[in-house]
Amino acid sequence: MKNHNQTFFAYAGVLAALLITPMLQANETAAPAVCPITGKTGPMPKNHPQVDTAKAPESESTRIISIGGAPTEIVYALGKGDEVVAVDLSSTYPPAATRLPKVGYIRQISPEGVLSLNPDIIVTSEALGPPAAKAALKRVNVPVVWCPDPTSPDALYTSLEIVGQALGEEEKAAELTASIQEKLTDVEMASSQWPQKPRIVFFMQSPTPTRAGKVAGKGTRADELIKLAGGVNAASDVNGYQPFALEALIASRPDVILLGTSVGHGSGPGDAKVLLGMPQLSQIPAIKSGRVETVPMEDLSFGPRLGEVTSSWSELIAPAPADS
Amino acid sequence: MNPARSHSAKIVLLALMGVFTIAICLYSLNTGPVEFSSGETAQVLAYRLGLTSEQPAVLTDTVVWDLRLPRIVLGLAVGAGISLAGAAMQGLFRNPLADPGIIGVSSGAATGGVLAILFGGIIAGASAHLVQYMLPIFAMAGGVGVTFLIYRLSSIGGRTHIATMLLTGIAINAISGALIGYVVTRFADDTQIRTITFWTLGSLAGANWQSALLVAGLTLAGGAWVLSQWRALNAFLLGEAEAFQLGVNVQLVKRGLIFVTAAMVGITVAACGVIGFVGLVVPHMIRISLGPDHRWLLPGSAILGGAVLVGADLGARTLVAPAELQIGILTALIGGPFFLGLLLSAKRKLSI
Repeated sequence: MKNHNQTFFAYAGVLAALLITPMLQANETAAPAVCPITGKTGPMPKNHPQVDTAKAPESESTRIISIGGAPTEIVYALGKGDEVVAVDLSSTYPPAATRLPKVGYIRQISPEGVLSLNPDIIVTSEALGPPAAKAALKRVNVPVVWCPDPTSPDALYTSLEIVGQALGEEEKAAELTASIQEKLTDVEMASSQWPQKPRIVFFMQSPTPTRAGKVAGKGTRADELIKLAGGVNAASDVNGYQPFALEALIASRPDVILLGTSVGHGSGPGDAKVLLGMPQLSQIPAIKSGRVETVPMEDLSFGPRLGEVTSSWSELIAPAPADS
Repeated sequence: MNPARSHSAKIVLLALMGVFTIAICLYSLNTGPVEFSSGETAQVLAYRLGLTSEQPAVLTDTVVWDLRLPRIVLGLAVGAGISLAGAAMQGLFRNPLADPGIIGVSSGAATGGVLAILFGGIIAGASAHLVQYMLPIFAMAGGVGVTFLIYRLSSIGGRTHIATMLLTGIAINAISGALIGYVVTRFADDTQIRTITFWTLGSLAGANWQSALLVAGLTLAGGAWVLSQWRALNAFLLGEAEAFQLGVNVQLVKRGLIFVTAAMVGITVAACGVIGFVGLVVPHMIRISLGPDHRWLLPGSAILGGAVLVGADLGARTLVAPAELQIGILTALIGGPFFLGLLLSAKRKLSI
């Protein structure tokens, strides 16, 4: 066993070489056009078009699979809800969608599961994951409509346009876009008259006497919606959704506190009462004036209801007449 | 245990396991939420391997070649790697409870991965090219570091203290859980780390040809070396001093085994998260059927480990179709009770 030394170092060398070589060529984002085993060229993605219309829907009734809250709402708003055969767990609106079979959660999709339902068209967003599932869906010859990640009104308009195109409902999509834009402009006009922008804190999960809340910070859809509604996010020091200590809540001096409610996720309807009754918070403007409001978590989907949602949020946060 | 089987009987058993593994791979390749005839599956293979120029349907081709086959290759490599690592660690620590998941090696690797996500960018500097290597490198470093730590903490005169080993695992699992939780809350917008369950429960869903071939290559290289150490591992069963008497370069073999097995576990964790209990259960199954001799134990563990993981992944892909389970749920569900049984039987012989 004298040769152990040599053997071990030889193997260590091979290990290192094996580790480094594929990495030097590694490039996750490039399409694997050439099969690494045979060197053959496989089916290629077509330069990542946003709408892949390789196979146009032929029959009257297409089988649509919709993955993602906003995409599902768009499909229903365009009047194609009857043709949806499956959705994902994040598609919680409209209620009809929640009764359909589920293909998992948008960030945890099984591409084979989706394909097994024999879709004619898949409508989803760039938020789809894991990355391998996204890559696989970009390669198959089922048309996939890739909406931008729904985080802004512009992303919504683009989504409406490309989904409208793919489903042959361009006009309806354009009407929807125009009406959303109109509502957003109305809200902006109204809120520009306010003496000052109200300070808002949005909780995905509200604080209780026994646990910290989860606040919506910078970069969240709630943050974007607060701005659209004419307010200022008082928790914008935080990035994303984060636990928010009571002391931080007191320091942020919100004029209005919004609680996102949903079944099994986020706050419950009774949480506003709990918050109003917490003595530590009694000096916060929002608590003093009793302005703790609940909003459904679906409001954050950035789907076609964005106009209505924004104006309802704007009403909720508008400065009280006595304040002005 | 049945160490008394004859030489040829053991070879036959190993060959049968090999056949079983190939069978389960073929069955898995042909089974999933999308249904094909075996002829269609065979056509994809024949076309891709250049045996026929008749092009298969794109859907069939994508599902079989791009979705299922990389998962099977990755499953074989990962299953063989962690089972082999489990068998070698059980020999090295001279402890039947050593499993990369239980004693914290996998969590250590996950911690390394999390640190790579946190600081990899800073360490790699401006080179975007280097950043992608940080995760596997850190994961391997985490696995190796934890294995050395456990070895140092729990070895007294070449004997391993079981309680220390398991407690180290508890501590490492806690630290890893905390760091993963921190990264998830801190960087919740990154799609790759959004799902905390990826690191804690494992999944082969991220498999592509690149990751599958990388893990397979490393597992082959590391595994071949571990297999070559069967004599030394057998000598270790008698104790370190005895192994030295038998002419084993104890320090070198020990460090080599720690390094290679932990690196194998690390690369596994980087590619598909923590998959628990396979490294514990498979070597025990082999010990029951082939005996404790590492000449049979090591290759048997590698072969059966691959089969077990491919089978578990088949379950993960099909049980809740069209959605998908985390493979770690299945391995823990099957391996957990096995571990309890092992603890109960060990309780009589050892003081834990």
